Amino acid sequence: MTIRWVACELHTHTVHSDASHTLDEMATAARELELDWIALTDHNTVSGWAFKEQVEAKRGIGILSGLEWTTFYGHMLTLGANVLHHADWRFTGPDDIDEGIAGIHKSGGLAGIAHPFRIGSPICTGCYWEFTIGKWKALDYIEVWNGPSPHMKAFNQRAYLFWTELLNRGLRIPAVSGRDWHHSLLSSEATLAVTYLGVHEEAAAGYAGGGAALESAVQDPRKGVSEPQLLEAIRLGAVSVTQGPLLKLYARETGREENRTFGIGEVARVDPSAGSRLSLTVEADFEVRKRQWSLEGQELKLCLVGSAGIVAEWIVPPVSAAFKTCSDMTGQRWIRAELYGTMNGQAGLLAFTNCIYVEEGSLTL
Amino acid sequence: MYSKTLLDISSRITPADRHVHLVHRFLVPRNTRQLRIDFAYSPKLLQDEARQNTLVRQAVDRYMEPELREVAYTDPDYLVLQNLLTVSLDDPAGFRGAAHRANKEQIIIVSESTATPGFLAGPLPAGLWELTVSLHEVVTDKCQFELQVQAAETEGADGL
Repeated sequence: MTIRWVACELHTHTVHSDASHTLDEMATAARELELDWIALTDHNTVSGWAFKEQVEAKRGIGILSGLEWTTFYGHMLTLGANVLHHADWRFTGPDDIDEGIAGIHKSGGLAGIAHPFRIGSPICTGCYWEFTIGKWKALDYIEVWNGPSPHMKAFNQRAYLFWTELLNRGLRIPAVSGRDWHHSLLSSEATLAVTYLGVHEEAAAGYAGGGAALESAVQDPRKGVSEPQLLEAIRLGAVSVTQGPLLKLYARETGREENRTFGIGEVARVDPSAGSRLSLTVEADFEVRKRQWSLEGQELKLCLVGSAGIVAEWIVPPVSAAFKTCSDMTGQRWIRAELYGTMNGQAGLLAFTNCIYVEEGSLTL
Repeated sequence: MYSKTLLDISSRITPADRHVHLVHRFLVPRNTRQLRIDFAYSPKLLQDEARQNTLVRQAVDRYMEPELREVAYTDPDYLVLQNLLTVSLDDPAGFRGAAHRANKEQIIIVSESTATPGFLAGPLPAGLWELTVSLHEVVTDKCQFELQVQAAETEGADGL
């Protein structure tokens, strides 16, 4: 089964709330950034959606319907549906978020916490997440990287650690990035993260590769991908976040007659007593969005990290390659890949995948 | 052009009112062709430096990890505290738009064919509408807002 990775920007604003650009101007800039899709997530309104199809056709980019529930107690991104009829932020107090999320789901939308640790009131009202969540499982995702140069910001580092903590507590929650795009002015040092969403190739109907891809992209701004497929990718955690190369991760079962392969977001069940083990492969693709970034002239650190610690580490040159390990996975409940290096003079975490979850033991019936 | 004033109110708020929603329910008459909302509040910025420093200090202590606080107390990005009031509009059937933006003076127009960004164009059904002023932030001792809604009638409506 082949996965196609769709380059998305999941957190943007326009003149319909407090940003300075129109959807058309932002879509033009997004094409320059070699993005496939952008989510329109204006604060507390959906009025910008009216221009979606027109801008998609004109600029050749897919636009995902969303909004940012901008409340006094936290900001929550919603994607895929007009949630305002079933989930009114103005009626949602600090202890009512479970009902709010239920209303978002009832509308058919996804709910994700935005920038959970950005400084709050009165500097930025509601920017720090203060809602009391009863049902963590109901949340669809968490934005662990917010804004440009996300890896340099303390509130994002804290969000990343928090995500790790949630994973260790057994919560299988996807993590994404969002530029929180309000205007196109950027300092020269700034780097931008992209969230790649994994869509099954056979599901992405009618989209040919190679030269034909370019041609059909002109005809089909959505590039053969539908909004529900992208929502499903987030829901399943088929997500890889990066400021440069795209990381892919696979777990292959070994030692059995029919060895299965698991991708990012999937649950790999292994049965050591039956001789089954996992071999892990990380692929780093340095060919994506190449005009946007450079990592030349340095060695990078690629890691496989799990709930019980580091699984494997490689020092790698900045070129496309695959790395494989059959390390002992005892006690690992989840595994993800991380890439460290320096981009535009800023050193740190440059890319990470979402998790493959590991369950040990036979599936007894 | 606007023949009827549907709402004309002036309210004084204080920091005690932050995180309050003020709902103004008003009647939109039959044959309304266009609504115009004028909203303005003042002051916008907190000028009292001592108060500003205190509030920033409290926020930094509440939201940031200890090792980052010292630098944050004097972060120029933080030392510009302001009031933030936003308006949102509901017709008898539900959501008609919101203006989540920092401008202290706003004019919002809604009609069947056009609407100010943030708002939904469409028919203007007669009945009880709601204009909510959400007080996201009130950092000054006092803040005053003015809110006015005017209606323009469909042409020829008064001639029967």
